Amino acid sequence: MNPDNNIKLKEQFLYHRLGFSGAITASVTHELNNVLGTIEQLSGLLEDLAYSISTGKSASEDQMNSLAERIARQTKRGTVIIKRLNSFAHSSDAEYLNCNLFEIVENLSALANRLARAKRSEIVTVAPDKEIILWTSPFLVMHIVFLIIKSVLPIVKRDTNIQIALTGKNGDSVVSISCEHTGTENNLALDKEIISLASMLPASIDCQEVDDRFLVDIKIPFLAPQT
Amino acid sequence: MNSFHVLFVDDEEELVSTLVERLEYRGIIADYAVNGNQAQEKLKREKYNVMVVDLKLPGLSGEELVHIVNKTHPNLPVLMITGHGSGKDGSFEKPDGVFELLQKPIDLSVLIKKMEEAIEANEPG
Repeated sequence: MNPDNNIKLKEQFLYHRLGFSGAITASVTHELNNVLGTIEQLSGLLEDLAYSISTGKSASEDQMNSLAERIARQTKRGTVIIKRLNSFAHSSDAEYLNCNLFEIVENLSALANRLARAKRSEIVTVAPDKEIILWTSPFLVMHIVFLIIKSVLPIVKRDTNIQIALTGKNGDSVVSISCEHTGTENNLALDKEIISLASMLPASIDCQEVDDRFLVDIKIPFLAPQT
Repeated sequence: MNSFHVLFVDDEEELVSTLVERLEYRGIIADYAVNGNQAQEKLKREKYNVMVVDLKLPGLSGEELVHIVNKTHPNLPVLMITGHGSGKDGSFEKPDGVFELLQKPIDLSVLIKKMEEAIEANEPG
């Protein structure tokens, strides 16, 4: 390959990695903004209640406990979001790592679920029968799954799930993404970046339509964990 | 200003239900819907003086809802709320048919002031 082309490809690759990280960060910060905004209003409500008591009105123990629980629920929600974002950030610590495939796919699904909910859909992950631990690039796997989710979002039927199931088949690990689509006139147009990212992993992508569902399989050859 | 009736439309249910409770402490009658369809149903049944809509709603977007409500309830003023930097360039233009665009997190006193201004601006004469 011409060295100039090689540099251009690497630049494009980096640009897309940054784009993916940015999309995840933007989505997660929006959600954190909602969590903090809710805590702010709940603490305001606590002040309102305190003021009301100071003017001679009574407040029940139940009211106080309920408010404390509501604040605790939001802080827990925020903690989970931050933990997931942190795990995502560490996925690029090394290009290849020993990974639990379900853990990385499930984390990405949780981070991307806000995008699905905007389309009144929900991403649901189905755990494999047996743990799949392999030597792979977690960042690349998540990037490919994310782009496939983005590709199916315009055609997913409202109020239905996007299902992500993991299986081991003939030595390959398969991540299957499927959804019910809105009608026969809608074709699934996979982002062209997906194929080039899959070749880097290396993995193959198989896309098919079965009845009213689109099914996209990412087949990742099994590479034994490194010690 | 006398008490008024406001409809919030936001899928962050804990946030919006807390706002409703806080407004009730201030003598404002508030109600909420968690999506555009629910909001349209409430608008058919109740009379509101102002509506506050989140830009990002599941299904029907905030902008789409405003477009519909501007036609079905032309005398209902609408405020829109948005998370920080909802636009791709970190900003967002106030859509047509919206009296004011407010940023989350919401300052309650600013929100009340803007709702009052929107109602007053919409009153005839």
